[in-house]
Amino acid sequence: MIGDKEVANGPINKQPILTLTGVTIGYPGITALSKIDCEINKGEYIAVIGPNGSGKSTLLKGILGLLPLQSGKITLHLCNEDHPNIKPASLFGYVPQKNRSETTFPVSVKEVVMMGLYAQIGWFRRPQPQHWELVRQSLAKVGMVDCAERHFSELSGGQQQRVIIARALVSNPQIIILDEPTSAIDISAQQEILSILERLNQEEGKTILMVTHDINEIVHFCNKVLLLGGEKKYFFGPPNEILTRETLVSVYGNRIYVYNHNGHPHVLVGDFNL
Amino acid sequence: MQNGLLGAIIVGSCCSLIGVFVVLRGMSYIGAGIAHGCLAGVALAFLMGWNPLLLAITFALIMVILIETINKKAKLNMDTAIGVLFSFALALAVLFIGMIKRYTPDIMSYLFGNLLGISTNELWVMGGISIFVLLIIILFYKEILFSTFDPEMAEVYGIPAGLISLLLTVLMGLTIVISLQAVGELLVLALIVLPASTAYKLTTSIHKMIIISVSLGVFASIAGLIISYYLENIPSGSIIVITLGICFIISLLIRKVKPN
Repeated sequence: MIGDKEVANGPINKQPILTLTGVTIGYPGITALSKIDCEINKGEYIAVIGPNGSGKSTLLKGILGLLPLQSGKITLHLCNEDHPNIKPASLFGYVPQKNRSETTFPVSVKEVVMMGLYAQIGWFRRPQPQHWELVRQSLAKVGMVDCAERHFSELSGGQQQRVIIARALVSNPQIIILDEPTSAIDISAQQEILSILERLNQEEGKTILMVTHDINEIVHFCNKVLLLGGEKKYFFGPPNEILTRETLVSVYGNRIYVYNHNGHPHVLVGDFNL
Repeated sequence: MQNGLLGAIIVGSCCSLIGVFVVLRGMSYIGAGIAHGCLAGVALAFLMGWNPLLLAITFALIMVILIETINKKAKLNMDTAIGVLFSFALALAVLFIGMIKRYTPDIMSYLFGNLLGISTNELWVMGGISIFVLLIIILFYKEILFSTFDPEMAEVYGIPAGLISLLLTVLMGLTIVISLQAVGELLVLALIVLPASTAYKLTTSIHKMIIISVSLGVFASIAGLIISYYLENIPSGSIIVITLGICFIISLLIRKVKPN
C-alpha cells in the first residue's frame, strides 16, 4: 500500500498529527474551500496540488492560523506528551512562497535562521549561545553551514530557499509546511531541495505538507495527495488512487494524461496519442 | 546654539534610526502623509493659539489611525489611502494658515526648519520622545526585524506583525513631530529616508546599516546647524537635506565602482 512508507524509525505511525474536519475557509464574502475532511498521520509526506486559485495556499494559511476558518475544525494532535505546553510555532515549520522583497534584505544567513527561534526565545530577550548552536545544526541539515556568516542577499535563489528551509527546521517542528518551495529556482536547485525534504521525511520522520504545481517531481516521495479542484471538489488519498486520468481531467480539463512510470503515476499535459 | 546642537543630534539620530525600518518596509509614503497631518495640526495650533507640538502629536496619531482604518475597512490599498488623506491634510493646513489673521513667522520654521530656534522646553520634549523611540526599538528589535523581513512567517511564529507595523508607524509619527522644528514639514521625510537609503547602498548588514544611517543623520544635522548659523537666512532643513542628498549620490557612485 502506497500510504505505508518505511521511514528510519519504522513504518509510518498511524498516529494522526493533524485532522481537518469539515473545514470551510476563504476570505470575506468568498469561500475558497468547502467542507474539507482529511487526516494526516505522523511521518507522512503529503502533496497538495490543484489549479491556480483552487485554494491551496488558502488552506495552508488556515492550517497555520493566518486565516480564520469559516466553519469546521483543524485539530493539532500534540504528539510529544513530555511537552504538553508545546507552542504551535514549534509544531510547524513554514516555508512560504519565495518572496522577492526579502532577497535584498541586509541580514546574514545565520540571522535569517535565528528568526525561526524568536518565538522560543521570547519577548525582550536576546539569542543565547545555545540558540546559535541550534542555528548551526539546522544549517548543517541543509548543507549551508559554511555560509552561516554570509549575507543572505549574496546567495543564489536555490541557496536562499535552503536557508529558509533551515529556518523552518530550527525550532525542531513536527510538521513542515511548504508553499511551492521549488518555484522560481533552477532544476538543479529544485532537486537539491527535494532531496533535503525527502531526507527529512525518511530519516527524521518529519511530516511534510507541500503545495506544488509539479506533481511528477514528488510523486516518488509522497504518501498521499490532496487534490483541490475548486470550492467543493477535492480528492485525498494515495497517489495511485488520486492521480488517475479520470480524476485529474475532472479538475484540470481534457488535456491531461497519466501513464505508469516505474510503478508511479506520471502526469503529462498536452495533446498526446497514448 | 547649544539647544540647536543637542536638537540636531537628537533629530538626526532619531530620524535616521527609524528611517532604516521605513526604507526596508517601504513606508516612506506613510511618512509624507503623517507629515502633512502634522502641518495641519501646527497650523490649527497657530490659529487657535494652542501648543503646536501637542496639536502636531495629536494630528500625527489621527493620521496613523485614519491610514490604518481606511486601508483595512475601506479595502483600499495603502498608497490610495495615504493619497486621499495626504491631500485632505494639506488642504486643511492651507485653510488654517489662510485663516490666521496676524503675521506668524514661527510657522515658517515648521515648514522649512530652524534648528537655531529650538527652545529648552521643546528640547526636553524632543529628548523624551527620542528616548522612548529608541527604547521601543531596542526592546522589540528582533520582533521588528522578523516582521520586516517576513511578516507572514512572523505571524506564524506568534509575532503580531500587524501590531508591530502599527507601532513603527506611531514611532515614525512621533519622530516626525519632534523633527518639524529642526528640518520642517516639507523636508522631514528626507531626513528619515536619505540616511537609511544611503546606508542601504553601502552595506549588506543591518547592523552596519543602522550605524551608517545614524552617523550620517547626525553628521548632516550638525552640518546643517553650523552652516545655517554662519549663513543667515538659510534654513537648516535645506542644508541638512542637501548634505544628505550629496552623500546619497556618492553612495550610488561607490556602489557603481564597487558593486559588492
